Amino acid sequence: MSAPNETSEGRSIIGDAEIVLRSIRDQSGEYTFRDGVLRVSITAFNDRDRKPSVDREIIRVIPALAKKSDTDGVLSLIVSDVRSISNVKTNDPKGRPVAEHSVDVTPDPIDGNVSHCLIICRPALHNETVFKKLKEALARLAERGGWRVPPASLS
Amino acid sequence: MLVPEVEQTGNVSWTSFATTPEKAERVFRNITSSSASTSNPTYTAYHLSVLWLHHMQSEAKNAGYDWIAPHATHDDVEDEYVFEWWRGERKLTVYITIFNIQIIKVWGSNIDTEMQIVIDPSRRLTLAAWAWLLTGSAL
Repeated sequence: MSAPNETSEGRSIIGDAEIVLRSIRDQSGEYTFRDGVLRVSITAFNDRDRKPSVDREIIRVIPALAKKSDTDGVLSLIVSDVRSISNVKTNDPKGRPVAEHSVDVTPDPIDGNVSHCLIICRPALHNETVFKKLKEALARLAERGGWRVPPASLS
Repeated sequence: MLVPEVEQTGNVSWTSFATTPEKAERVFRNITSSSASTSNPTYTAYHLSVLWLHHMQSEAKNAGYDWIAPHATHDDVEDEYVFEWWRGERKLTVYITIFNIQIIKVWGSNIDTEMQIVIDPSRRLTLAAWAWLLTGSAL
């Protein structure tokens, strides 16, 4: 039996073309500008459970509602780009691959925010070093997606 | 949150435990050799970060490379310092805790083919990573 919010094939119901939104704290080190170019720090995707939260724009409709505080900015990522982060491998101490993970964006509605979803790995990621690489990839995609809503200090 | 004062001047700030470059280098070598850092409560991740930054800055300058101030952040929960540098498509990320120093070279979003973890940040590897960031080629 498939899990809630999944098709019978186990595929998430979030479309590949969808945009997801990540709230970025202002003046917190989660972003910077270098030579005039927006650079997103890996700390923008820190998550204790290794499942960074994002909101679906198609449900949020107004991107500014994805902000966690008034001064936050909102960066965007395309779901297909997130899913295309491939080759997420966990190796044993000798460098031999022991698991290969796919990356997905899966619905995770919470009280007051039905657009809430998670960037997850299947199987779940338990290796912090691999998660650091995943954050590097997400930061790059967020730079590419750019601001949907700039933070207060840039407004 | 304590973050080494590197953003404004590009230079690493000094604290009383390391008042000269020579002393800083000695302390850095001491606490990064074997498991000294895990058993010596005198030094924190903050100290190690300042010393490491000084070490890297000195190495870069001695080898004739420019120094770029890092983007510095700190994870209060893990007491981990993160330093990030960007140069075009290339990026260097350095994680420092009291237990280890980890460097990740990034030149794209493909985790398998466009990122590399530098396991042992020895003098040679550190300078090689810096050279790669600035020029795109290894030493």
